[in-house]
Amino acid sequence: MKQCQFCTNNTKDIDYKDTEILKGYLDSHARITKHRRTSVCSRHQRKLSLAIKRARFLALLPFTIG
Amino acid sequence: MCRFDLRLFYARIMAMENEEMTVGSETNLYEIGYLLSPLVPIEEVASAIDKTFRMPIESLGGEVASQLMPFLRPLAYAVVKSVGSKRSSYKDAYFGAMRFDLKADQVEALNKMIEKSELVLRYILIRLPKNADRVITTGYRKPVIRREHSLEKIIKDEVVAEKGEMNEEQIDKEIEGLLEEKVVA
Repeated sequence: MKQCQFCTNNTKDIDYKDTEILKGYLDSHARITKHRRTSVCSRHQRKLSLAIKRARFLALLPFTIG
Repeated sequence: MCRFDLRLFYARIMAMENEEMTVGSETNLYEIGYLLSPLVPIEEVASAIDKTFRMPIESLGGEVASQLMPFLRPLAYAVVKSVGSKRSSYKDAYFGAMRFDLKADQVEALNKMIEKSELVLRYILIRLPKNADRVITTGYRKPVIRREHSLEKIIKDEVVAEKGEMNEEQIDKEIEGLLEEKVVA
């Protein structure tokens, strides 16, 4: 079974400025991908979604594509 | 039909976070991420930051721990800023961030001071956990080619038109002429 990438790398906090990491968790329409698909644990999924929402607010990431 | 505005929804979430941050009078570590207008010349960016962020923080008794120097980057969508009755749309901006210590009851005052600034397109104020690092993380920096704004482009075009373009032969002749002058001298 695949493990959470953030747990594997011992990442405590997910930064909204790391847009290249965050982009990996968006689909082709810039929606946040579900944890079932990415195998991110619940704790990190919550942190990830908050970081993506912060980055969207600052126009570092798009709200929608296409 | 009522249209659900997603951006307004996120702005409300941020406002709720800010309300939570102001509870109590203990000193906390905060981070502010901001977008500065791209019309600010590169040489004046540092002074603009001092004026807009550093001075208000220090005037409220806060202390800047570290900062990420702003760099020009393209935005994911056009950000609209209205000053008075004029609305301007920006596709790129200077993005920077700053970490600082401040008393929780001073955050509201800081918010009001920053809101007044015409240079700040958008900003986000976050309270960091107590065990957070005081040194700011840089994030990813993508190299950016500066887009020429209309006024800059017009001035540049005028300068080029005045000077006129030179081909290789003309350049060679000029160099030879300069060398001859030197020999004569």
